[in-house]
Amino acid sequence: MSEIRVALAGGAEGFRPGEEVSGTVSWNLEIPPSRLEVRLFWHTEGKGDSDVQIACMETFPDPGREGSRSFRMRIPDAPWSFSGKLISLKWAVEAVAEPAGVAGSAPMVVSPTGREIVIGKPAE
Amino acid sequence: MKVRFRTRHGGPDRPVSVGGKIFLSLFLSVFLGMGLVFTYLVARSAVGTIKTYRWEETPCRILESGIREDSSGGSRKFVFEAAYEYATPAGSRTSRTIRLGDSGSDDPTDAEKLLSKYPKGASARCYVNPSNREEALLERNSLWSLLFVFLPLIFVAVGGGGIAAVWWKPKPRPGIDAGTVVEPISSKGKRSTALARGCLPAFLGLFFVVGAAVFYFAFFRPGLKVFASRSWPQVPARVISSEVGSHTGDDSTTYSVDVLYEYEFGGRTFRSKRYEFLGGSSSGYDGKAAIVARYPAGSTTVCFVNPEDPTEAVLHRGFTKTYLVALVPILFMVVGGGGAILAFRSRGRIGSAAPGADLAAARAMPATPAISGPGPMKAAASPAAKFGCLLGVALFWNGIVSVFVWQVVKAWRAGGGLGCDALFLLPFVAIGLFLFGAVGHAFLAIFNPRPTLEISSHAIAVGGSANVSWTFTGNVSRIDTLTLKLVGVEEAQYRRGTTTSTDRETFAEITLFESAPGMGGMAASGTARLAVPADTMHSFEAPHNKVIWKLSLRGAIAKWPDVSEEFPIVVTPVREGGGS
Repeated sequence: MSEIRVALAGGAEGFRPGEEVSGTVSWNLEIPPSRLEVRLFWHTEGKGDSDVQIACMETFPDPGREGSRSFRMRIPDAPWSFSGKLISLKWAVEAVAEPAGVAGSAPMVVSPTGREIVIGKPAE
Repeated sequence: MKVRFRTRHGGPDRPVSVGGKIFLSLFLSVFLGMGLVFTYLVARSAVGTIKTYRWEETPCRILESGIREDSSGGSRKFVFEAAYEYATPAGSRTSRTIRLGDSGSDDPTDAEKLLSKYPKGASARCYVNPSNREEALLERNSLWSLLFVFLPLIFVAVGGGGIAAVWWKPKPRPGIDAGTVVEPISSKGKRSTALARGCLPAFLGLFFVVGAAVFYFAFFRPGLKVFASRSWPQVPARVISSEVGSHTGDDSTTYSVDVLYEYEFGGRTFRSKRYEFLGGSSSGYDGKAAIVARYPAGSTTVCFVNPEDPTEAVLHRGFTKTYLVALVPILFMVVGGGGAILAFRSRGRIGSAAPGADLAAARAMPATPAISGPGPMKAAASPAAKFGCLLGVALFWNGIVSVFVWQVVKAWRAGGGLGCDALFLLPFVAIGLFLFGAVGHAFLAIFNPRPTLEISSHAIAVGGSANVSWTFTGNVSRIDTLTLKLVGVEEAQYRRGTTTSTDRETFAEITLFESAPGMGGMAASGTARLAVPADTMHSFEAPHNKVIWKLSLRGAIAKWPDVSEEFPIVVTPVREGGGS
């Protein structure tokens, strides 16, 4: 069974805009990937079609069948994590073994308070 | 700490049964088969054309030339015929081939042009096949005809691609349990990049190119001829034949003015079939029949002849109503060109996945105003612009509906009943009337007092504030109550099937100013403090999801459209500590 784990440093989940997010990605795959990409990204959920944006990415070429690497990336000023009646915006660090597409991720919250901003009623 | 490992099964779509796949494949194979046959035929012809460009250019002499009328196929065709002599190492040879696959045209102009170019006894150039010198051409086919190869390839792509899509199964990816597919969420960011950067602008650009090409040939070029022909001399002409041409298509018949006439210019007799510069055929028999009736066979009339190319003549050199139809491609140009520009401009905002990514793009902020300091605010849409848009929509809608209504009225006047057609049209007519009502409402709103807003800062941070002042021009005393609000709206766009919908939800509505009832007229000018809550979301703009902030100014007027204007503002993110 292939597995990728993303662990954020210190078990942190809430981050301020402009801060650095660091952590470790570890993997154990059945077939060695050609590269491993660690992506800091946001995406929307809710009623609208999903929008996705990768803010920052680190690539580890020929990472082997199993291993562990640390990463460090700077979070942009915006957008902030929020939830409304129609839209939710979520941040995460995702590690993807290419070309197989095996992935593992760790969610995070980006806002000035480190907590998700709630506008109106939360999205169902 | 939460760590997730996701797998996603199959996909949301139900698999098609084998029977369904076979049916779809049979259906698509018709496209594929037809496409392949036509591709072969067109490609064979194209290869033949290309080969002639390697033939030897050789001097020749025109032994005889003329135009033959061929009525064997049921319609009259004008075929240019010539015999020409050329020299080969084995002695002189004679050929009668003009072009590859040329069988004449129902318009004599082309044959007349060739006759002018190759009169009897003239010296010319012909093209001789070096592999077989018995074979020669007087004219080579245009290389532009090679573009037709792409036409049947569309059918091949639809048929072949469709069959492949029906039967294609994604291979289980290595390292993943059989039957499951992992699709990382962030990978969508990469796909949308490719779409936004390449496919979408290219697809919309194709609309523009096709629209521009059709506009050029259908309107622009004939329109230029209309102006150029103002200086063409008027020449007596004799009508040889006159009839309404009938062209039967798959589901309708179109008609054309087919008047063949001859005229003399520069000592030579020419024939032409051109009534006006806009060629082709269209629906509507009566109009064409009326024109044809003005030119009975054997009658004499006048035509206008191009003195630089006497093979070119026209009976009517002005604009007609038909030219309005030829303006339709402008819609394609506007939709295609505008869409391509928008898609191209938005390509950098979402989807950048490069290492060390473009953080500015990742912020997904709406375009910040050109001025960040104090200054006047721009309304989302002025009353005149709203009126113009509504008028355009109403004219477009009612223009189309009126064509069908006219057909129903014509049938009714001819003695037929109103029937189901009229019933079917009723809701469309009702929408048309509603649109005209809205146009009237928007027209009245143009005469409302107009507000001008000024703001102390165009970029307001979350938790920040600014001063807003307003002044009215016009008869402000008509306003009963005036309210100014700061409004925050979520906007989500989604597709269900082929329909794209947009939902909006107001999540913040903060009143900045509200006059007492009956006192709106006293507020011809004023100032209010705008404070953006500290715990809210900044402006956000992605292709399908937005957080929009705006100032909404409403002035209620009794028995008249209200003043209702909106002024978008950008609420910027701010880091803890104050910097943005």
